[in-house]
Order: sequence, then structure tokens, then C-alpha cells
Amino acid sequence: MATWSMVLLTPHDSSVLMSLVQYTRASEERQKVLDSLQKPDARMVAEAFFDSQKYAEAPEDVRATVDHFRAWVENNKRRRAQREARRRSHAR
Amino acid sequence: MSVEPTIGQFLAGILPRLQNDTKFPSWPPDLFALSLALLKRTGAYTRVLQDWPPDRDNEDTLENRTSRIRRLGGDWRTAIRLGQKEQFNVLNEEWEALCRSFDRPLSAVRSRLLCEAVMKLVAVADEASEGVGAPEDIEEDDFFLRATRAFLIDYASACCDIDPAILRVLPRMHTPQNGLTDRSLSLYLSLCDASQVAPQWLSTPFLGHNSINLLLIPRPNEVLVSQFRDVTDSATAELPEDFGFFTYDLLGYDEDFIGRVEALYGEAKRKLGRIDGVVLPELAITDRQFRDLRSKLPTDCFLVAGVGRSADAGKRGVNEVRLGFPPLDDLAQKKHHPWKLNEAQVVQYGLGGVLTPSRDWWEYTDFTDRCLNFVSISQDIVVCALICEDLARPDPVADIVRTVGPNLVIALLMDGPQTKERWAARYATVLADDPGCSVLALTSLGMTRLSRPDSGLSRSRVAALWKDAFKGATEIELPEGHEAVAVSLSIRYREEFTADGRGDDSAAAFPILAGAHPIADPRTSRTR
Repeated sequence: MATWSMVLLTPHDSSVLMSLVQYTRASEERQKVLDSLQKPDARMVAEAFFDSQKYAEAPEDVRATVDHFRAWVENNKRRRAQREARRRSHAR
Repeated sequence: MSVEPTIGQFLAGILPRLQNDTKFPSWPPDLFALSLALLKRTGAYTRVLQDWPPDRDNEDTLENRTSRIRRLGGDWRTAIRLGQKEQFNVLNEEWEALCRSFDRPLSAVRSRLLCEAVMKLVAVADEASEGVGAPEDIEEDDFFLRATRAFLIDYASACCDIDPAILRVLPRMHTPQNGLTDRSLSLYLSLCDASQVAPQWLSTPFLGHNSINLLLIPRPNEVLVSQFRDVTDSATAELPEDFGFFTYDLLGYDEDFIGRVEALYGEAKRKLGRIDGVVLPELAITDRQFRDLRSKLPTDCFLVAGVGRSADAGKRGVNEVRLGFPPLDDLAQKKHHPWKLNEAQVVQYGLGGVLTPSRDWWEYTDFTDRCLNFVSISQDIVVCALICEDLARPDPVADIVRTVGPNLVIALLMDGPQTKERWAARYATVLADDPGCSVLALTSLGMTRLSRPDSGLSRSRVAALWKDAFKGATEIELPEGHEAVAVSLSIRYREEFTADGRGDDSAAAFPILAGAHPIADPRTSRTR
């Protein structure tokens, strides 16, 4: 296995980023949220998530974290679908 | 002579503004904390629940009451989402009844009408908080969930106005289905007294499947008597003559360690298709090994491991569980209670040559700054890890564990074989029974081999034990020639009910053991 390199985040920054990537926000509001991030690297992650040009130019560790957030979004979608299906079957 | 505090004094002790401002607490966890604290202190709910639901004389049914409470909780949540929480006033009658009683003694909460009002406040605040603490949900931009998630991360409490130094409200994953306590009154929120243990709550949508595959590596495979050492003379604390301090030396850096774990991971993935997490027992690896291993394991695989350092020159050792959930910074949680080796244990592990059995031996480790991490890895699964003694001692950590009811408790041990009759199985059973946690206990093959039973055959390959709410304890044994075991946990859902009759629509999740596969290092098994 190759050694990975990834921007590691504080729980606070992870939570803020997760909120950002989950919801489409007006860029004005997004800017305000970005200012609440604690680590400078976290800001780079957010910017690369929303801007494909920045993603392409970002260091490998930033791109790895962005990819991870994309996987999380997919996890959420899949788990939500499973939850909805379970609710429907319980309601029957 | 003791003077009973008034209801107002009691509540103002939790939320000081109530001394001169009795405005309705418009944030559900705040109202929950105030109301449930009253019921917990007075035990009033036990009396009222004997004749339930409240308006049976008027032919009100339990089903009607439950529907009403749920609807009110949903309305409150909607009001918050629309930025109109100050306008949510349908609980004014109950809140004002409570406020009118501020000058009455606490015991007045036992009066039926007041207690019913307080129980309604608890129930509606609880229903309004469904889903709290879980990772973000892509389909719902829910301000309440986002705000509570931020509060939980920054203050380890879902409350907005109540100081976490006084009371905390944390999410709840299991409601006890046996007995009757204040914990029986809620599905989604739990009330925690101010404690010396600092909880930390993290939400990460780590899990994308309806099952969890874990690779358990019970290393080291060998523990030597010489790794235990008397450090009494160099310790910075004195003990009575009959006691001593010991430390445990982790062996030097094993160059092949990472390669072996990689090989085991690869083999486990080949067999199961996917590995979500790797678990190693108490004091299995050093800080450097953890970091090296963390950087090698794939980022979609979490790592929970016992990390340690021996005591040195009077400086206490380190014994902690390290949790790696990329891209989050690694979390560390120190062991809360020292291990005390008594004569029977010194003999059991054959340590008499280095630690005299005539003394009791305390583990010389740093036990300050007690914390407890809860990691929400999906909407319905919360994991927490405990180290050895912390599973057995009821305080200070067990209260919080029981109150929150994490779905999966991982206990990292330095202990003998994990057979059903031993202590870990007993304490795992307690947590599985109330509140319903599934418990995985893992020790090292080195310790199980060092352990000698009083009688009968050695069960030195039983390195792990599983207990959940549905079945008796299951021993997990590694056949000879295998260094690890991959376990599959599937998630079973069951409806849980509060004592006032509210159900959760089968949302309570129970990981259950659905497979155990011995794993051998393919590099060595091929050459055998």
C-alpha cells in the first residue's frame, strides 16, 4: 500500500466543510462560513471542492481531502436511501 | 436542618437568567435539560407513569397522545427552520404552569398536574430533536441539526443557553428497554450531569454501507515477563509498603510490523471485499507505529488502537486509545483507571519474578484529563472506545456511556483469554442489557498466552469477545497459524420505546455479529 498524504482537519473545520459541501450556498454566505475555518489548509480544501480549476492546481494532499469529502457525500446519499427504504417498510 | 430548594432556585441553578427572565426556552435541548433535570432530581415520573396516559378519563389514548407529542415536536422543528422559534408558543400553558410553581418546593413536582406538564415538555423537546448528532444529511438543510452539530463539536453539548459546566445534553442512540430511570424518558437526547470526564462528539459520514467489516489484530503475539517492570523507587508518588508501581515496556520498533498489517489487511479485504476499520488492543503499538500505520491504511478505513509508552525516569507512562478517522485529526483518549495487579493476577500471568506477589501493583501511567470520544460514523451508528478497566468501573465514564448508549463500544484490553465466564463478558453484558450497546472486547495473543488458568485447558487463542442485545456472549477464537480475525457486523433495527410510550419507528440500530473469518499473513502461510 502506498503512503497517503491528506490535509487533516480539526473536528470544527471538518464540520464546517461538511456543511459547506452539502448545501448549495450563495457565494456571499459561503465566504462568511469560510472565514470561520481554523486551519488555512481547510480553506484550500473548500475552495478546491467548489472550483475545478483550483482542484486541478491544488497539492495532492488537498485533492485527497476533497476526494474524501466527495466520498462522504456519496455515503450520505446511500445511507439516506437505505434509511428511507427501512422507514417505508416499517410504515407498511 | 436542610431546607428544600424551590423549583425556581433549582432551575435558576441550571439557567441563571430564569431568576428574572422566565421566557420560554426556545431551543429544544435547553428545555429538555431543565425539565428532565427536575424529573431526575425528584423522581416524580415514577408516580405519574403508574396511571398513564394522563387523560384516560377523557378517553384520550396513548396513541393519540404520542401522535400529538410528535406533531408538536415537528412543529417546533419547523418553526426553528423558518427562523420563527420565538413564535412557537404551543407549550406556553405547560411552561407557565412550571413558572407559577417557582416558589414551591422541589417536591411539588410530584403533584400530578405539574409532573404531567413537565413530562410533556420533556417529550416534545425530545421529539423536536430527532436526528441530532448525526452526520450531515444531503437532502435536508436543517438549521437545528447544523447548529446542534456545531454546538456538540465546540461545547460537547447540544444546548444553546445552558452552560456545559452545569449540565450537558448529548444525543441518544439507545433508550433502555429494561427498568425505569430518567433515561427511559427520551429517544433522541440524553442528559449528562457535569462530570470530570469531558465528552467529545464527532460526526463523520464514514460509513456508506449497512454493515461494518472490522479487522481485529490481537498483537503483540508474544508478551514477555520482562516487559513488566517495578518502577516504585523512581515514581513521583509514594505508596504504603504493601503496594508498588509497575510499568509495561512496549518492545522496540518492529520493522516488519507495517508490512504484516498491510498483508493482513489485504488478505481480509480479499476475503470480505471491504474493510471499514482496523482494531488493535490496549498497549499494542507506539505513537510512531500508529502514525506509520495510519498513513499506510487506506483513508476509507478507520484505525482504533491502544497506543502506549512506558514510564521512564519517574515520568508516568502513556496508555491511551487513538482513533484515526481521516481526514479528521487523530483523537486520543487516555485510560481513566489504573490497572491494579494483585497476587492472583501476578501468578496468573507468571510475573512473580519481576513483581513480587506479596504486593499489589499499580500501573504507573498518566490518568489526568479524562475524556470520552463519541464518533458518529453514520446517521444511526455511534462508536466509542474504552480501555480495559474503564469497561469495568462504573464511574466516571460508565454513566455517560449508559446515558448516550453508543451503538458500538470497542473495549481494548490487556487481559487473558476472552472467554464467556471472564469479567469482560460480564461488563459487556451489562451494557448490552442497558442501554443496548453492542460490545467488542479485544486483547492480545501475547497476554492470552501469558495467562495461565487456575484449572482446565488454556484457551489462549480466544482473543476477542462479542456481546449484543440479542444473543449471549460469543467468543472469537483464532485458529493456530492465524494472526487476525475479520468480523462482519450487520445492522439490525428494532423499535425502542420510552417509558411514556413513544416509539422510534425502528430507528434504533444494533450492530450484530454476522461472521468471523480467521486471517493469516499470506506471505508466511504460503511458505508453510
